[in-house]
Amino acid sequence: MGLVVKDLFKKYGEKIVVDHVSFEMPQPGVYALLGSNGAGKSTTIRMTLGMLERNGGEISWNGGPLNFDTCNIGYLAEERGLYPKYSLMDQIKYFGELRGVTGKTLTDRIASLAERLKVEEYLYPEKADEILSKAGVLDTSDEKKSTMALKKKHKPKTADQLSKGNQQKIQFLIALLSDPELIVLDEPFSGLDPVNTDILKEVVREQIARGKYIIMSSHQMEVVEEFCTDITILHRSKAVVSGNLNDIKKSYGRVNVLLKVEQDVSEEIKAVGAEIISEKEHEYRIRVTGDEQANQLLRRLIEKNIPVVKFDLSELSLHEIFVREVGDEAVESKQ
Amino acid sequence: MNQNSKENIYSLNGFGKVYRFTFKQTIKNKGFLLAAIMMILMMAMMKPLMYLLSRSGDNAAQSMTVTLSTIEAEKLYILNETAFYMDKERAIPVEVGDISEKAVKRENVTIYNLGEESDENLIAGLTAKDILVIIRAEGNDYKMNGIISDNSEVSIRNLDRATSYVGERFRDERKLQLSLDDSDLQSLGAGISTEGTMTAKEYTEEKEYTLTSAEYNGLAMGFALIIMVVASLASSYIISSVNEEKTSKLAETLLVSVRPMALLLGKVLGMLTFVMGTIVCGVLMSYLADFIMTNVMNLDTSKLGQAGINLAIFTGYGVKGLVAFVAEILIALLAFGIFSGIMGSACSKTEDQQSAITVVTMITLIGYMGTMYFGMKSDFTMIGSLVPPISFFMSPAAYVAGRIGLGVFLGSCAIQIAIIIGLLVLGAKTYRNLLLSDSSKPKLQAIFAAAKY
Repeated sequence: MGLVVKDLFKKYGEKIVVDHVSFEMPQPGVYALLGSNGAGKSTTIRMTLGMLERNGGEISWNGGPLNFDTCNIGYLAEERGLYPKYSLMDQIKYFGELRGVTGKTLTDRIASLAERLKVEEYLYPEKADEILSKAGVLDTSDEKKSTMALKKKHKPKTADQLSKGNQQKIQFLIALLSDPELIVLDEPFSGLDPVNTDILKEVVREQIARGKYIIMSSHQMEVVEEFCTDITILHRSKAVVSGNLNDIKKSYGRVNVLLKVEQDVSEEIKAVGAEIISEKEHEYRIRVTGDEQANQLLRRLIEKNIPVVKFDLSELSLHEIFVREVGDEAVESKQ
Repeated sequence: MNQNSKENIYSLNGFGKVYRFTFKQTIKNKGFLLAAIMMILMMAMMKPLMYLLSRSGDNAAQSMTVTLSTIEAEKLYILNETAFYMDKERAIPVEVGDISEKAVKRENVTIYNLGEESDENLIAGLTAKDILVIIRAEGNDYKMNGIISDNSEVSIRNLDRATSYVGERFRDERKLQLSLDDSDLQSLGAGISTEGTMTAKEYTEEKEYTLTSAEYNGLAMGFALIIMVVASLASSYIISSVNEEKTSKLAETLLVSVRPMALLLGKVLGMLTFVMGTIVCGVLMSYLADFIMTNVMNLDTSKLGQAGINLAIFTGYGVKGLVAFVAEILIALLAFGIFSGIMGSACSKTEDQQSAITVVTMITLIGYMGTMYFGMKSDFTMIGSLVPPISFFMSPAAYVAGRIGLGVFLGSCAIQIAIIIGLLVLGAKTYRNLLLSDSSKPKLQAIFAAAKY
């Protein structure tokens, strides 16, 4: 039965912040919750996870209520936070214990996730030399350092000693500590460098492979396209698009043409009524109305003996769908 | 409102973990730890410091009661122009022991009583090594002048000593001639306390009270001061600790693991344990310091009386007093602690903390000032003992002093516990919303508004 969110409604005073939003995840997979800033994504997530009371609607998990007593939840909040001055290990253990993971299970999970996320040197500073040595980045002058300097080096690390990227990896580790069934990732890859993005993506892929329910909120559309099978786009507190990503794309038709030729064909494109989006060294990005117009353009080029190097007809990208639905143009047309 | 599952926001699941983590991390926090050590040291050093100060005070007092042998001069003339006759044989005692060569010899002291010599003559005859002290009556008072010659070699310090010495001798002469001793003087100088007018019924009631009005006022104010200091200290710690969680953006991560009441109560009790632990350590260290001074260093601390940290307020009124005062402190700390936790969660920025602390301090001040006012008005003792926040400060003292009965005291405690429950309900309803809000302010109106959502 999975997760069912039906007619979710929330208002502050007279202001409606989530207006009858519904979505469901009948089986494991990745569901994307998209929307511009202030669209109601975070409020929807907070209500879904039981952090905020809702004014209306129903949320169920496998037919029963959803809260952290009925479902093992892992949450990476958009607002990243760690206790800045507390030891990393202390706070990781605290969050683990709050989620009911204790003793050896907790220790093993921390060690395993730390290795996967490559944060061992921060969590186990006493083993840092060994870890760095394995990675081939050990400073050999360390051996000459005084006992005092080594003691300082081996002192438990605090959050404020870590870069933002590494702090984010620690928070990701905390979200996965309880081996959750339902994982909510709010902007999981924002602010990460490509290397760390790949590390986190790999862990997310592992979770997908293990059959977890994942809700992902992101502004990075290529990431959503990479992972998500279903989406809901929120705009001004309402769901404007919702459903399977492929079906949604199909519903907009195949309207993008990437054309590469060896001469100027602007006149031919205009002649069939298509729109040139961009052009660079006879490589055109063209917007057509559908398959028929695209075929018409291709026929015309062949008839005129214009050599076609590349002709690629495709659906709208998620980025384009998002802009179309929540961009200024969409707003004006809906008004 | 259509909700298929009403979440139990009052669940205390996870409270113990929050409590332990808060307490342990507070102890590990250098800032809190340093403040605690400073406070413990301050409490421990209070009595030794007072002892040192009293010793320097004694030394000063001893230097005031100078002897003749401490005055360096050749001759000392005393011109007594008062009605009290000063006889040299009686007034200037013979001194024994080592007497400095430079000190005034007894045979070089000359006393002239009323009419025996004029001040002009004596001043004219002063040499560079002589001192003249003139005593004269002015109205109901006596005035003394120490005089040296214009080319005097006598230091001002010695002149002061000579004046003090002559003053003491003149005082003793007066006592002798009036047949008075020190206890007579003390009795005459003792103040008289007036309790104002009262009806016959009030007078009868007053006689039935365990403590007199003065004792009761002292007890009530002393206890109110303890509550004010401890509650203010705990409040500032709790507000900063709760707000730290909010400004560190940890609220969401915590709130998917623990319910608001467990989070609030764990946080508050963790900090209260730290504050109470600090105070208990301070008291124990103070007693240890006292023990070392008395039994190891064999110092006489009896003159300090109840100076320093003492628990007389708790131990001086029997089991009844001990239970009443300790119970009230725990209730008051819990109430102010929970209120501070809610105020801390309403602070959006670190700068807001001061406003939150001010609100809590204002409420403690109302309680303290109310105790001052109602404590003096016997007609309002009952009201003061029942109406919060004054009742937190006043009720146990009123009970111990016999101003209110056990029933009223228990009623007062019941009202205070109801307030704690009310605050917990308010906290459970608002804590999550306030922690998640970026724009809340530490104002009561904003807190009640948050309960609606």
